[in-house]
Amino acid sequence: MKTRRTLLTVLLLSTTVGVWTQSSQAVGDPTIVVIVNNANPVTSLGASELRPIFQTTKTRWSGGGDATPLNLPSENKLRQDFDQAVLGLDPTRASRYWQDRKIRGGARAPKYLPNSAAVLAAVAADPSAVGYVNASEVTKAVKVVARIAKGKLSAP
Amino acid sequence: MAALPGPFRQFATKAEAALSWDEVTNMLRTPAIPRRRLSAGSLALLCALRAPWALAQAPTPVDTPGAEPAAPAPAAAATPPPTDAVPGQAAAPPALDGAALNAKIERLQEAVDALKAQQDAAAANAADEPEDAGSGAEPLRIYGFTDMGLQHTWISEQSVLARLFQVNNTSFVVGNVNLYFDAQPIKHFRGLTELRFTNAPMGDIENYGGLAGKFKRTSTLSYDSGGTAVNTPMWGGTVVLERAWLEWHEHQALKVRVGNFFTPFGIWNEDHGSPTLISLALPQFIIQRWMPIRQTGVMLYGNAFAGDWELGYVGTLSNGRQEISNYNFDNGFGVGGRAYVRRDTGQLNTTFGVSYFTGRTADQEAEFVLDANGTNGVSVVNKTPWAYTEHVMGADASVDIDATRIRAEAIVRRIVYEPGKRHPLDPLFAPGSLSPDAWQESAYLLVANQLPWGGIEPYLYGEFEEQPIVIGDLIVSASVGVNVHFNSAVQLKVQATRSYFVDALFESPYDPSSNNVTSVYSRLVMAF
Repeated sequence: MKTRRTLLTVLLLSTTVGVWTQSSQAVGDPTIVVIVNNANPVTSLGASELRPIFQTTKTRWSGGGDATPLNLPSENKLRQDFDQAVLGLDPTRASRYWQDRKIRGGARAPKYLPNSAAVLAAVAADPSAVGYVNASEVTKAVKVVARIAKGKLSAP
Repeated sequence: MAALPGPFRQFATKAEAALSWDEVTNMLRTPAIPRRRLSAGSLALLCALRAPWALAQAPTPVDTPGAEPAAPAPAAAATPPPTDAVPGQAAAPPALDGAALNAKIERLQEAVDALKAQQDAAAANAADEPEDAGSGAEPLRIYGFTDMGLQHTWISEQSVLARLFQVNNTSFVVGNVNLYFDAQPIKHFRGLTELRFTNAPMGDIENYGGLAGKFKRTSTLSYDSGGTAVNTPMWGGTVVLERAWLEWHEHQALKVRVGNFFTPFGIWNEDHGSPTLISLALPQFIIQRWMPIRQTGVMLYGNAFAGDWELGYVGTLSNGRQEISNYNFDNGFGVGGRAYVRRDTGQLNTTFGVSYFTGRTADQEAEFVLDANGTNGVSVVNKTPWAYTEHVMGADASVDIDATRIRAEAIVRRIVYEPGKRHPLDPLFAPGSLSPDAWQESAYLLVANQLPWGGIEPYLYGEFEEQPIVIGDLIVSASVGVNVHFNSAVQLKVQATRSYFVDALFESPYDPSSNNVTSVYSRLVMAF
């Protein structure tokens, strides 16, 4: 009887935690927009282009010119959602990915800026830059080339 | 009213009614315009928006970049209203029509955006350089890793190995203390130097006793001349230059690296560090240096993309092996390369590669001999006591499926000695014998899976190695281990390995099984 009650409690708790987790994800999953400089001829970016740019294995735009990815700090929720959607890495694995890269002596990680406003400013000022911000923060000073909603990358 | 951008819709909607300062300020405190985002431009805009409709309030010049945040001015101190307001008319309604108002708000918003961009860019530039900053000119960054632990290796007392090496004792060890100096002073140029600090060769056996002479340990002990006592002992240790190179990487398809670099061969040799390697125990082909671990020379590398696949190459031209000398004294260059295809999607990451290295390695001795035609009756004669050419080929596969990591490498090495220039074999195991031309083969398979809790990653590791040596020409090893990732920087690694020595190619005069080894290693590893 006691065992059954314990099991029931665990089940209820699990369900509660599950619901709570789902709702947290929904709240913490705003639409992210990937932005480039208005002078960049790129109009749309898919995962196959974005991923290597943000892994710094691809350093040139397909149409030519340097590609300069700009990240947010690793503890930033927007960064974590972006890493998950584009690199397929949760925060722990993303951190290990870059740690391993450093130990190997591989190419450096993207530069990161303190907040979305700084990313917006940097992308607006640098034709080679690509970054991401919350959709509600985007301005006309930059161009949206991809959108991430509910963890899925899509065209702008 | 025409559509206005984001937060300004609120202004437009309320513009028809006169807004008080408090109303506007409250609006700016709403989530649509978080208060923290108020800038000089925002406040200037705020004042400008109020001007036409607020009672006897004066406008603040909003088109001036870099304007200081404007404080709300008291009505009595107001300056003259803008031209579209009627002077002296305290509560005049706005004189702008909807279109003009929209246009003005658009202009003002652009001004605010420009000001904000300037402000944020200035703040970003003023901030300390991020730790993992990557592009552009950056200062020197110092990072590294260290590991230390406890280990024990069991070998039968019947084995000569048990007498030669530090085994059958439990020992605490400091494994690695490695520091990286990573500089990118100019965009597209980078320099990386990695140093390993050790206590070696303190305590090593320098000479065996008995037939070999008088037993002696290497001692680097000295007295600290800078100490506060005259008899404070200290000892020196070797600093290993793991690598030191300069790189120009402006073009993705062709990057150039010069200096001392790890040989781009397979997976293990480049993974290199204990935080990155899954297994603690090294493959025999790494331990025995079947390919040079590092070389001094020039490396060209680059990559290109075809859809999701990355195609990469590395080519090297170097002095070849540098176990004998860092100087190329025989014009025997080493040539090597690696080609790979990679596809990383996060959930499924795959890399397949092939590697190759070839080079001639020889020793060169110089002897003074009596020579009537020499300088003062003496001349110098050069000799090449041994020389061989090697070809080393490898194939590797690296597959990550979600939390499962699979690594496999296979390597074949062919050594061909030049006539009359063979290495003498170890006088203890094969006295009077010379090294044969040889084929050497080795391979390993490693499978690790990180459990969903506790950062626990158990793994299995199997390896074989075959080469013509007298203590057992086939070695088969099996390991079980676990890595506990406390976080991305710290992990505990524990591994148990059993290696079997077997006669597979030739009958050895010794019982190879007496050399079977069991090892347990542990390391607490930290990357920083």
